[in-house]
Amino acid sequence: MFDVLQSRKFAAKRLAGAFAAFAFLATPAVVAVSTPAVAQANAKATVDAAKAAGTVGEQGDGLLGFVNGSADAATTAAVNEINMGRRKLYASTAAKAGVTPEAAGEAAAQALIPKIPAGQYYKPLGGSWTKK
Amino acid sequence: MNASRSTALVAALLLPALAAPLGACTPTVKVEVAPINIYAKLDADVRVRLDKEVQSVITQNPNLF
Repeated sequence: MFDVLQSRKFAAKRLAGAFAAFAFLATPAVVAVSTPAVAQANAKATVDAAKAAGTVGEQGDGLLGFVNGSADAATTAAVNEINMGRRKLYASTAAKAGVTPEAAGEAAAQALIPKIPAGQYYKPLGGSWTKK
Repeated sequence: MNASRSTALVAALLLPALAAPLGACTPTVKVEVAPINIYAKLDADVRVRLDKEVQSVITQNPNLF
């Protein structure tokens, strides 16, 4: 009798453990798959902070770059997230306008660079990082 | 007669030696003149259309710009 009770308790514990493990594994996947907009908004907030700190800036090719060549892991992930989204947009815009994705990116940079707030960095095509 | 022959021989030997360095220089010059800005080379009407498209893409995707 005692043995049966113990083994039931043990089984219940294992079941709870399995559930916890499942929830732990499933949660990040659900967040990443179902809400790319939230991931982008978070990345945007990180990038905006890095821009204000002078570690990230706009480049002449329409993508974000690192003013000092690299940045911490969170900032790098955020920059990659934004650049990936931008590349997709440049490709679709380029297809519509009948130009190369590079030309679409450069056109975006032409629109973005004049809007950069004073004190932040940008890198023109063929140039080096410049403080506005 | 003999003198003019030897002059011709010297010239024939020297010419390739002079031409070789000239030929070697040409590709170096080409590499330095690489196009940087693709956007600037677009036709004006294409550029106007592209600018409009890009402007709407930027305003429609505030999370990326």
